Amino acid sequence: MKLKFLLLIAGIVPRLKSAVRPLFSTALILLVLPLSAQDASAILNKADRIFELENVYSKSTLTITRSGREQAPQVMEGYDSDASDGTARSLSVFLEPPRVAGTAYLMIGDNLWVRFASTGRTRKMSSSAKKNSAAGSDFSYADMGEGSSSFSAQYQVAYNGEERINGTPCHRLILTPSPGERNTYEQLVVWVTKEEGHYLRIQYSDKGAPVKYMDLEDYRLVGDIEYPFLITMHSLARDSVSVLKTDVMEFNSSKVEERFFNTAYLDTIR
Amino acid sequence: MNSTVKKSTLTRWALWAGNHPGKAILIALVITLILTLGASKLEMEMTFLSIMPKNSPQVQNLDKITKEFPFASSLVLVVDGRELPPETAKATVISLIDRLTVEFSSEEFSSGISGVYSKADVDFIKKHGFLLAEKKDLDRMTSLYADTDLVPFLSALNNDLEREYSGDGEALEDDESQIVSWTEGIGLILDNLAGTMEGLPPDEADIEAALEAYLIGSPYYLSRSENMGLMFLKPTFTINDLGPLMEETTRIEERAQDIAASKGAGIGLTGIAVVGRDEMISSEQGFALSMLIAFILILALMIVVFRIRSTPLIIGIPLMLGIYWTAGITGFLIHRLNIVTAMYLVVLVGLGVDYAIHLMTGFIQERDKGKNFSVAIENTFTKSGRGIIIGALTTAAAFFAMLMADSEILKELGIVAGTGILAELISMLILIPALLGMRQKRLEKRSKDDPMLSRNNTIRSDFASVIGRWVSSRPGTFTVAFLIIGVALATQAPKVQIEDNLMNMEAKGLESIKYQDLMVDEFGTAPDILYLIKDNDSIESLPPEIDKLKKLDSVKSVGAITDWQPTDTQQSERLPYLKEIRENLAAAAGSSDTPSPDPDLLTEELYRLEANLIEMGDLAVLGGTDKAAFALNKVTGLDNDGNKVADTAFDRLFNILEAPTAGKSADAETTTLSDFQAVFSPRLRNRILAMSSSEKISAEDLPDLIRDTFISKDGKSNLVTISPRENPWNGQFRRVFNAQVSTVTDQSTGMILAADQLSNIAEHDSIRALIAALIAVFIILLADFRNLRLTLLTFLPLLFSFTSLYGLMALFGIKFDFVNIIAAPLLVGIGIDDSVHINHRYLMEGRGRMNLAISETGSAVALTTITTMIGFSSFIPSIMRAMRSTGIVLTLAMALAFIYSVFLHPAVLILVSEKLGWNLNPSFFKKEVSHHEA
Repeated sequence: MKLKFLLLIAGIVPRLKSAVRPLFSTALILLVLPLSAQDASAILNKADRIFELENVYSKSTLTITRSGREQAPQVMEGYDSDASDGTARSLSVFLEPPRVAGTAYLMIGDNLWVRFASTGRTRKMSSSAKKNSAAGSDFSYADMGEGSSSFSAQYQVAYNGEERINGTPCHRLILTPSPGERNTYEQLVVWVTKEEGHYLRIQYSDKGAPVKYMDLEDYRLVGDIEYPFLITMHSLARDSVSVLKTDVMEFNSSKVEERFFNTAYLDTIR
Repeated sequence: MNSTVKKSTLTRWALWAGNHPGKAILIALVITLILTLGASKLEMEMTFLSIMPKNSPQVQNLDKITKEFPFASSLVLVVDGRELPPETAKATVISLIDRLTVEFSSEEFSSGISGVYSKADVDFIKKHGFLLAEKKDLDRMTSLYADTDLVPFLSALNNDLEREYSGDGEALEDDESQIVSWTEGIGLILDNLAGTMEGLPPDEADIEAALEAYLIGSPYYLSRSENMGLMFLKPTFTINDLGPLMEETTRIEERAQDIAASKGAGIGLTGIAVVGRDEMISSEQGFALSMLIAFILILALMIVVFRIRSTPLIIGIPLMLGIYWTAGITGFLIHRLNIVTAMYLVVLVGLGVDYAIHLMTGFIQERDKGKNFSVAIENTFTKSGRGIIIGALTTAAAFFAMLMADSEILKELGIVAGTGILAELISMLILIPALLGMRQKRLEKRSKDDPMLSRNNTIRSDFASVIGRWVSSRPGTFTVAFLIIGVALATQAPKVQIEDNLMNMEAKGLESIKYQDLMVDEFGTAPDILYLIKDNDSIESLPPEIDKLKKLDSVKSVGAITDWQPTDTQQSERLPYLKEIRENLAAAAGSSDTPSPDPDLLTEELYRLEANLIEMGDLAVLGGTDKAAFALNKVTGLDNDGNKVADTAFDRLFNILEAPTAGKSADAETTTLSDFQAVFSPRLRNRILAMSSSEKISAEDLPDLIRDTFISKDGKSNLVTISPRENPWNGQFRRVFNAQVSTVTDQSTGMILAADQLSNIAEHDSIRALIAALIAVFIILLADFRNLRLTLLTFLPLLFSFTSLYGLMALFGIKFDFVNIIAAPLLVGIGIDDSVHINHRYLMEGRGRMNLAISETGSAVALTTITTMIGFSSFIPSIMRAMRSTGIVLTLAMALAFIYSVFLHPAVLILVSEKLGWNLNPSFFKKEVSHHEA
């Protein structure tokens, strides 16, 4: 019976007048498109919640493996806090390896400074440095430090279908830089889990090709936001992988102090 | 077709040949003589380069580069001092390089070597160094070398190191060798200064050496550990000149090894020409061995099966002659054998013998029944002849269908493969009856009985009988079981991958490839690069294109003639800086007021310099740039943990400058510094003045190595080299690299792009050839069976063979590559044979007699499958991994074709013919009524 009903429907469609069919198709497309755009933005906004963490203190370990050789792990403390005008600010202090223990990076907006523990000197870095490799890893300074700048603030988003990543069903979104945005990648492809709305993978493209991708795993509750405690950056242009494992994460942490986000503070770090 | 007439023609020929063996053999000899002319034109081209599609722009440009740019084909000599004591390795390697330079520049090697490059041309850099620098660097140098007195120089150096910091760890890694030599130079300058402060007179030679290291670095091409060195030999031949390539490279390698061994070092020879040579040698050795293995195994099998002592001659002679005729025809038509077609000739040993098996089996079965020689020959050709011919035509048609492919590699394979089948068929049809006749005549002459009559020489077919009984008694079970297996394997088929790293197809353990890998690890070179050929007319537009390429993440460096011979635009941008540098230096030199170095200011600048070098060391340790970290640690006295582990020139200087020894006045200190400055400053000034020459650089001024690398022989075009960050043979990285480079230019070429063409062939062109083969076989079978249903059913085992093959490959991780992709069209032509034989026999025996059909044909079908598998599997021991994987894939394919043809196909025929009542007899263009119709 069901088969006959379906066959009846299938039989009806070819009888639609030729003028009606394109009209029907167009209406369907018009109906679907805005829905996709709204969905894409909503999906991205939900995933971007990880950027809503404020006054974040973290302790993490960065391990770089290059050409199959694992390098000495880098342990660092991070302090992130946006200024009152929304400018992203972060301070990272190395705890290990011993050579760089006490060395710190301070980022305020597009400005970047490094303070060397070995010499006690503070050096300003050029604004173009943000896209360079941070500490020899596959993360750029921008990747590491723009913790409070969400993707939705910098990129336009389009829905691109569904895909399974490591068996997990995800939405796939294409992100292109919003007009006027600098220091962004040419394109990002992000996979957001359908169930939790988390970023699972982010692929970065530059100069015509994907150059690296980041896997985000081990989501844990921090306050009321879930944050990935394991982030792995795979470089497609180099034979290297950088793994950032968060050991401690606190938000609205009392450890984050306003005085940290000042070059004068760098000179006091021991 | 009139089968009665055809039978008579074939039978008449066989009878005549059997009774006139000498004349039949003579015919074969005449054919052989004619085809010897063709064989004499045949060349062996056993490199991967030779099978790249010639009409591809990438391959054409690559060929042009090989011919026009001598350095592209250079031989790379690696002086390997890794076994030498670390403290003497560098000096030994350098002395060996110098000795080998003299040796290979001599008259003795002039027939093979037209140039030896073992050192950078430092004189050229000493004269033109600053004109070659980028504008942004010249801007810095203007400040840096404004005053070469000690304190101003150190102050400017510190200012330069402390300018707005890029924090670019990648740049540190890319320029690691330069940073190392620069650091070593700074260390030597400080050492000299410390020595002077400690009371030694300033040594002019030492200070010159320190400045050389600081400004230029070592002229030798040394590895990161400085225990290996590189030399480049410009050959008089290219990779396409096979004779000189083999002879000269062997001679060079032997001499270099003798000289290196005298000092306890080793030698490795590599480069595109040498890798090509090694590919050829390993391929040819592999083919020769495979053919020998296949031939011996197959003939041994024939002796065991047929139990006739003269089997090796009766079967072996036409078998080898068929291969020879194939080579001869190939020589006339194509003039060459490549890796793929040469492999096929080995396969032909296993394919060609099939016709002998069918003929010999038939003949022995007739003799078993007590028939005399002539009747046995006649019956053999009557019963088996048509099947053999149709089988051969089917196979040949499938091969010739490859002519529909776009690529030369598949077209050539189609010609050689199709010709080979027909040549073997003709050879067997001419010679087997003749040789059997010759044997008969010998027996009669000796008045001996034919052992075939006196002993029961029945070819045992128990195995086939058992299969026949099983399948006939349970056709439904067999059909369902094999359908399930086939479908299950088919579900895995989409997961089969294509090999995208061509280095995985090369022979394992090739010395030249090992040294290529070593160059990547130890010298930081790329195992392969991309090239751009540019007209000299467009040289002004080169720098912007180069800048874009340099900014790509996947590009490590870009080399071009403009690095050594600036364009007019570049020159005009740089000249003002050079002028300012010279004017500043002239003003400083002319000034009568040259202050003595102030010890306090010097101390301050030394502390700044030490801090700068320590910070650079921090970044080097953090970034994993070990060699730079080592050099920086050496100068600063730190280890990788930041602990002070050694006293340095800095410590020596601080000890003196901050705590003068008792009795020594501050004036004495200043005088000592002035003495040092009096030697150091003018020497630095003179070097900077010399390097800032604004004289235009002509092509004749260029070092030979640079000219040969970047300028074509005819002087009309130049070469740009694009070095990737990682191994471009790795498919994932190659896709990024190619995609990024293509955003700047679509004109690039290189082995990796040319090899990608081969991978494209594997993916797309072989599918086209496969479809053409299927259509050709379908038409022939339809013409033969004259029954659409039977024709379609005959394809069922073939379909399952394919899907099961792909499924098994996916499960076992065997990948397709452009060599083993030939499995597909070959499987069509060969795999369908078994089903065709079973069809013919079933139609002849009739419904309800499938067990008889299988038992009668099963032995021959099994034998032919085994011999074909022997032919394919003879590649498996090859060191050439491409050949090995082809052997595995094709052997697996044949086994699957046999299993589905013998188990599934008969079961399906029984079900459709005997249970469903389908008519499988010829149903159109009938010439005779089949007596087997119900």
